[in-house]
Amino acid sequence: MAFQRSFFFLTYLTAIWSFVSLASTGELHLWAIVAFSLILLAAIGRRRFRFELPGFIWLLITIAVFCGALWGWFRLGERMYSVTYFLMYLEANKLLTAKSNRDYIQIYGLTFFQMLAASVSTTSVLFAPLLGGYLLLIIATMIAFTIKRDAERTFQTAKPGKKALRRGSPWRMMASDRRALEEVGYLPFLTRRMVSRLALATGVVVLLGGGLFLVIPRAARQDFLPGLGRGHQGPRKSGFADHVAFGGVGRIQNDPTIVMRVIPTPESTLNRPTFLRIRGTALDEFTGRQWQKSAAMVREIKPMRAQGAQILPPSLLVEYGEPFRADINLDPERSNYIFTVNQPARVILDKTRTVELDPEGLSLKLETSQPRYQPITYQVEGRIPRAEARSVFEADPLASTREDEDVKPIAQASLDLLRDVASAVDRGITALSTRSERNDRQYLQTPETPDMENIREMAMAWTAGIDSPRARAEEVERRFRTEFDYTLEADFADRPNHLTHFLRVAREGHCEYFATSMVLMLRSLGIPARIVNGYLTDEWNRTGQGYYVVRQEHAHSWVEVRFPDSPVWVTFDPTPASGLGSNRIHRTWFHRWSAVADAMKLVWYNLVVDYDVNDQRKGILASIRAVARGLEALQSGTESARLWWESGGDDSAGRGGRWVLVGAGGALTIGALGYFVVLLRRRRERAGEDPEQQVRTSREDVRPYLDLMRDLGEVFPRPQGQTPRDFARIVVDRSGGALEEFVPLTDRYYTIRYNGDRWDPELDRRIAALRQRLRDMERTPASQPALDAD
Amino acid sequence: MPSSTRSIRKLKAAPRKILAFAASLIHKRRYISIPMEGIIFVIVTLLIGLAAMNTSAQLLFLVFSMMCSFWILSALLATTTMRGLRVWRKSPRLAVAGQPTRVLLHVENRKRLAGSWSLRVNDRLATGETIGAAFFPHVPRRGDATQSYECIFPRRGLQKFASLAVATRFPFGLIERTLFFRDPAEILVLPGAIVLDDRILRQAQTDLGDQEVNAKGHGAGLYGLRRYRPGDPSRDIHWKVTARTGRLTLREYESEERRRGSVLFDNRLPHDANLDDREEFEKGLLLASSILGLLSEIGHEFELLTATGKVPAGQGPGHLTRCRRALALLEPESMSKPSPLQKGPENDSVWFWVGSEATRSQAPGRASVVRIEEYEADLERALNRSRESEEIEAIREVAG
Repeated sequence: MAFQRSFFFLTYLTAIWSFVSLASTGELHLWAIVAFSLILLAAIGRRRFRFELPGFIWLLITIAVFCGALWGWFRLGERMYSVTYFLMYLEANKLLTAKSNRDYIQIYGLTFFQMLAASVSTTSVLFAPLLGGYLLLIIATMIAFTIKRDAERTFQTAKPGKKALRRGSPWRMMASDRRALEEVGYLPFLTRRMVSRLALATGVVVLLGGGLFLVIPRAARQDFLPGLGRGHQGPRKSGFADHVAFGGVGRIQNDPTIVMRVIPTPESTLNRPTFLRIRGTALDEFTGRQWQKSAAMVREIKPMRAQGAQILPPSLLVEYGEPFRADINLDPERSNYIFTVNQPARVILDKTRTVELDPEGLSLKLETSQPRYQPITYQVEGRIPRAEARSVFEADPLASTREDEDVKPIAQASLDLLRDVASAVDRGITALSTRSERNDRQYLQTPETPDMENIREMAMAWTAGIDSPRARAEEVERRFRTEFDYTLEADFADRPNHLTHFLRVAREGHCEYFATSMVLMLRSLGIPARIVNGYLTDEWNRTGQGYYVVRQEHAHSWVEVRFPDSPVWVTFDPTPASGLGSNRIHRTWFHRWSAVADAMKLVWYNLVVDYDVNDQRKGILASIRAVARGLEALQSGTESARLWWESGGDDSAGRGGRWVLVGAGGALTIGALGYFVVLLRRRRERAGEDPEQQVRTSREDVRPYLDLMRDLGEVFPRPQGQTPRDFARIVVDRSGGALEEFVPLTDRYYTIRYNGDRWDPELDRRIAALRQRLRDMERTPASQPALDAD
Repeated sequence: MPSSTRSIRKLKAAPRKILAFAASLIHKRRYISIPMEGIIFVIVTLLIGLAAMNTSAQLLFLVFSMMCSFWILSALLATTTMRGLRVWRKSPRLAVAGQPTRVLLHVENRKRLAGSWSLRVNDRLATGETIGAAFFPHVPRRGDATQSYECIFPRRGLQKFASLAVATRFPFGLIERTLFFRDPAEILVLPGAIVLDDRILRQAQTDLGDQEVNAKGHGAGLYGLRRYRPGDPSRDIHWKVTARTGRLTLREYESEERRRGSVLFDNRLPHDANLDDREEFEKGLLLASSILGLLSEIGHEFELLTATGKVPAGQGPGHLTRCRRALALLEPESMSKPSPLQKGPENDSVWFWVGSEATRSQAPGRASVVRIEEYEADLERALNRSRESEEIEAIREVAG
């Protein structure tokens, strides 16, 4: 593509690309997207239709938009919208009126700000390819623009003043310069070779930028305009808070959005449970419509440094099951809860933040009232059930059917097995209570509602004849699991006696109904109990190292019970098995690809979005370790090779020495071959055989043309300094058009000599024909008038 | 010398060395400048860095890193582009005031691997002015490229080229890197001429007679044949002989008259000459040059006499150039110098006296005094380049 076309093509493509990047964040209104798209079309069409608006109209519009932006900033508080839309307006203005180089620079600057706005509005991995594409385009555009502007600056006409003219200051003509400038416009620019070079430059920028990104010191002040960096819509709502309205968890169970990813460490991956319970927070007070933390529980909450927050002191940890460590990558949420495993021991947050520890509820929360707009990654240490409990579940009969069907509800036939599994998984998971004696009263609290009488009656009926509290709890749990059904369609939350309706009429509901009913039943029986909100996931993404995917639909409530003879909280889960984990199993290529895409997103989070000073430290240490390991391997390999050699090829003497020598020999051979190829190439270049070299400009490449020009110069005098193009025009004029072919030939000469085109054998034929015509003109008297036209 | 003394001397010399080093750095900095776009880019980069720290948004850190890498790549490519370049100029030795002169600029790229892009070559005079520039979009590796520029010297005299400045803002326009190549050269700008008609000859009571003489000229009779040389008019080619011999052969004609013209240019100026006198001097010189041109055009022999010296009689374009060369370098003399008449003009020639009003009284009686005032408008226009300006404006309109 010719240079001029390439320039405009790249300019508009860059504008479109940056706008698409911004629109892809989902933070623009639909009308803004439509309006800007129309403006882009109009800007592209402007070059053809010469559409112009008077300057004063633009001024009025600009003032109006600026006032609107100020109004949005100060009155509506929509800073991000105000800035973004004002910048978009400026870009639209420039696209529709661009004339000078300064306008184009401003357009590029505004596209950059669009990308910037996109970068602060999204944490999506989609931004990575968009940024890469923008880099490629902006590099190409800036190079084209630099060439264009340099060319124009070169060909500006010097206009000396009168005094300078008196001094004899020289000045330059315009006509020939203008011609040269136009020639630049017709140069080939977006050739295949150029595009590959641009891609190379982009690669270099990405590599350099990536390297710098990894080493630039991290710091966070957050003192200036803290609200500017957030997205327009903010993070999504979560059902997790200190006050959870009844039914809140159930509502979010229809949402498949990923909430977090739990990446077990390699040693924990080996013993990973099929079901993983993620703890949010425990709530102890029920008002009849809402679960909340009691005043006693709130009093125990204390702030502490997030770095290595010890949730339970080692002395209180229950040595049950197996240790479990995992990194949790938590997406932005309005909730500030730090999710852990069900028996958390320690949480390591990389940020130097302060957290609030609820030692009674065994939960952690970031100490800030601001919603969290960036994903965070932290490490959790705790314990998971013993291996024998998990082995039951791994014999899941559904495993064979999952491969065959795209979407399959959990089969009724496996419910019994799942019930057993769920029971086995959780029963052993316990957490020590530090305040068991003092706080029994808060865990026996019941609301003064008409429901309570019915609940108490049912509890008495269900546990009649059972004395042991543990057996009573297990019986209540068993009843719920076996005699009730699970549904997300429970629409009786607004009834005044909704729990009675659930227990006696509907006999189906979601986890909150089951957990709440069980807690209230146990409390009515005098057994301390509380509800825990969190997630229960069974979705394992096998991409890479593998990790648990936790979605909103995995939100779950369960029950913790403390028995008089035990200082620990024992986990019970009364929800029927059909309500546990994912109720849909996806095996389509789309979902496989979604899993891969989500893994890429995780990599993007870890390496870019949540990359902090701790990651820097780890990276540097890993590099040092890798170098040290490499040196050690080299040393041991050399030693093995020496032993193998000295022992005369005895493999037992120098273990692996043979292969070290073979590898070294291979490397030497490859190096020698490479060097030989380089030498050969150099020699061919010197000899002019290299086809790459043949396209380079050399006088020898265009020798036939130069010979022709010399011969023509004998007939048509050519003054010193006259360019071939000027000479060609003179030749054509003075030959009366007989040698007209010389002009296109000269143009070809230019493209070959200066633009790297190849010499075409066809040109030899044309030159021979021209030479023949010249000879004819010299010999034929009739041609004399033509030459005498001078 | 004791070592302690040496150490003290070294210590004393240290500040000077440091200053010299700093000066060398400053000197080098002259070759790398940051244009306004680059400065804005720096400011924006710093702001993005601050924003990244303020918001701790890692994507801003990423953008900040990319911007830094733009700088690094910019510096690397600018350095690579300028490495291994050789630049030189090919200029004519003579130019004519007021007429465009084309100067060729060559760039050779001796790098083995990388081409050079977007090079601006500025040609600079010894006075520091940029006389012309050429743009090289691309010079391939191990290749060369040639461009040219046209310039107009409005005044006669010796112009000295000093150096060639090669500058590039490739790739992103953030850094401008400039290299200077010393390439001294001289160009002699001959005085131009205005169009004169036969009136001046009639005033001089000359006779454009048809008397043929045995000398080369522009008459009708054949003087001889010789080989064609570049610059000869093609209409004088003897085609039959050329066809017979296979070599371009030129006819030469006899001169039809042997009238001589002596142009006496009085280049003396009083001590208290002001700018207007200098301007009048230049007009007189231009007029003398024009008369010489006219005489050459009609085939006269002519000579030039000034208070400084004399160019003996001769004929043809070569001799005209010789006379104009003398005029190009002519400077005003004091009034104490003898008048051009003392240089002894040919007696059988027609004398044209050109001089300022102050020296006009010293013109000999037989000389035809050519008054500057009569050609004032043409001379004024030629000196102020207004005519060329109009032409160029016309060309500009056509071209763009």
